[in-house]
Amino acid sequence: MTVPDLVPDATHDIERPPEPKFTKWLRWIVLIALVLPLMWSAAGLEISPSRIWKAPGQILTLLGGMFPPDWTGTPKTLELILESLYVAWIGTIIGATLSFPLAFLAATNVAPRWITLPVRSFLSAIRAFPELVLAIMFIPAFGLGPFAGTLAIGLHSIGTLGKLSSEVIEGVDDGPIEAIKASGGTFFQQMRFGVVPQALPTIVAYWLYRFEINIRASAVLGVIGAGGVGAEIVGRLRFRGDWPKAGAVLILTVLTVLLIDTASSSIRRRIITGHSSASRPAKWMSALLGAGKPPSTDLIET
Amino acid sequence: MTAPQDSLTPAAMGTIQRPEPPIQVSKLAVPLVAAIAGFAVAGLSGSQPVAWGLLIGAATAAFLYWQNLARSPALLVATVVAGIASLSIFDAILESRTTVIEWTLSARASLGWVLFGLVVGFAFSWASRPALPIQGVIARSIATSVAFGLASFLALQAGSSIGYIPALRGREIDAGAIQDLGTAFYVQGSAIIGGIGLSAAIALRVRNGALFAGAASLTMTLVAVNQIDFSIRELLRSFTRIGELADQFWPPDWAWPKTIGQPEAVHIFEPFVETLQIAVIGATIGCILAVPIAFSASRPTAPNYATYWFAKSFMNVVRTIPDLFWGILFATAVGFGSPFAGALAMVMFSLSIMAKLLSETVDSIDLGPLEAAKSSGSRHWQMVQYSAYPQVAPNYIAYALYIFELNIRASVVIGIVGAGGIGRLLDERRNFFQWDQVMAIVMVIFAAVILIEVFSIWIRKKIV
Repeated sequence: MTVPDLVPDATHDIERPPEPKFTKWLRWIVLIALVLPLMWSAAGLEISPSRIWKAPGQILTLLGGMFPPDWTGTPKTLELILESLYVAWIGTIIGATLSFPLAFLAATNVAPRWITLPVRSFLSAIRAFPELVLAIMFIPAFGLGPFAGTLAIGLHSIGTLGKLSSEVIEGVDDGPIEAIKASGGTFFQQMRFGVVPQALPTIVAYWLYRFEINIRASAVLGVIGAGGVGAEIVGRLRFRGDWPKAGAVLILTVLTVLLIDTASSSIRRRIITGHSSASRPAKWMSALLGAGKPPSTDLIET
Repeated sequence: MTAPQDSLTPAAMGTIQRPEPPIQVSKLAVPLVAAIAGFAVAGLSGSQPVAWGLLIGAATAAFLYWQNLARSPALLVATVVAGIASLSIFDAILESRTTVIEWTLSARASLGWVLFGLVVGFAFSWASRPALPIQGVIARSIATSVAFGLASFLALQAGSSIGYIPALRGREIDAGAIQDLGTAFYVQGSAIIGGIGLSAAIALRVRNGALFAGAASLTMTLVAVNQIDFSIRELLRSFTRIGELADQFWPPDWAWPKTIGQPEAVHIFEPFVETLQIAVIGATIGCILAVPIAFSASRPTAPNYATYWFAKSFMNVVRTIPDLFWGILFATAVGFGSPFAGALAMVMFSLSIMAKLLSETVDSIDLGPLEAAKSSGSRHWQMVQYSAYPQVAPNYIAYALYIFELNIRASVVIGIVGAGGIGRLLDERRNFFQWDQVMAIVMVIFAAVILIEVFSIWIRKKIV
């Protein structure tokens, strides 16, 4: 039985890597850096332990009040949801058509610097206004209703889509552009045949993604009276205290958004990756669960 | 996947392929001119259904001819006749109605379009007969007619419930008034039905989804523009009013927050601090709570399938509800105007984003360390802690910073729905029509958002 002798020797010889410095300290510093602002915020917002303790009960009361939902207003709700969809759709169309040319002007590889700089600042300036704030500014000019909401969503979409599209354009392969330039193509031809075929699939996928986001945004815009289903929800919850009906509206809205998200994300996946080879039920399943093998084309941006 | 298109040609049968006959524009012009003339005559004589039926049938026939899908005169004539017949049926059933358009009436009126779809589907697939068996021709005809019928049914149903059929809007329904179907009805109805049906037929024939998508988007845009009364003219007219509006908005009123003569005078920066605090709580708590959900919602680290499914569905449903809806819900639950509601809403918002981003990252981790941990006898959550978490920790921190940025942006507006922060102030001033004060707040929001963006770009550059 000489084997066990080997073990202590071996452990003796192998040098342990040195402990990383400061790890212990770092952990404490990070913890303090997290906890201190948290406490400051909680104090500032007057969130006391008793309030936190009471919250789950209050939320359950609300959920209990919403259930069972009252479906009597369904046709009216569907109308408003459709209106939200229309607002989102037109907003996306505005954003897509106007951001497309701007994206070329904002891309550093196809436009000169003195053009890209102002266009980029313009895009980030309009992006800085949230849709709701834009809609609040537009309502005095265009009146209450979906028109102001559409313009607000459209304008914000120009900003976000312009930025994303210009990033796609900056990522294209220079080869085709140079080839067209070398064979005497004009600037427009370089863009049309050198850039657009490379960038369009991704850009269209972004348009669709923006449509998904815009549906959520337009659903909310109703809260301030800019058309759509939001007015119904806030009215039922806040001013009328009609919880069962609010529950029905909320469920219908969520189902619609879920449905469109599912359809849109499977189209996006197909645009970006071509055909998916999975069997049909598996595809539906993965689309429903959002768990596809292909790389995610999502990016979260509000 | 591209095979069907090739197998349609006779080459597959071993014969030499005949070159396609060139399209003769002069021949195409004949049906078009005839259609326009017929449309004009029928329209002038006051028979709307015949006019529109002729137009739709002739347009379809011209398309079939032009695209080389059907060349036989009999088929083309049959298409035109079917157009007129189907729209007449459609119209006759609708005109005979005595009530508002409801489900059964829509279904019956759609029969006209079913007939049209049958003929068009037949015309579309007849030419590809040698390769396509006769059952295939029948199947495609039926599929096309179903597409047309469904499109018509939906268009009618949507039209009667949301009012693109002119007579059936709002109070008029209650009054029981039923007007004639106007030109607008035919234009929109034809656009919807023809657009969806034809593009379905074409998509079936050439297997091209982009065409279908294009037609469907165009249809959707037409309908949407009409529904929400969106017009460029209105937009331009509103621009003329900008002068008087500018007077109300400009100059921004900076002084009011201090001079307001109330006991609880609101300083403009106080709500801003509140906004920041909401964002801090939302991001921190949300990111922490997201960790177990993300690991449960990812295949390699989910303890079992039930948990995986539950976490995944929870994540998807939470993500579907917009942050401001969370704001409304929590405001209702814990009290309107309270920043606590905003903080809760931001927790849900951060949680949904972080869970999604993190679980997708966990999906793609290296499985080696996980197996090593498992084979050396660690429990499930030990495995996650020591083999999975270290792999995604850098991403986690990057996402957390990003989410903090999103949180600040989102918490700026969350007050508008009654959940505390600067948004509450904005909403309040708006309700008093104090536009110069609104302007001041908006400018501060604008500056803050730009500042945050610059700062976060700088920090990301520092870290990466």
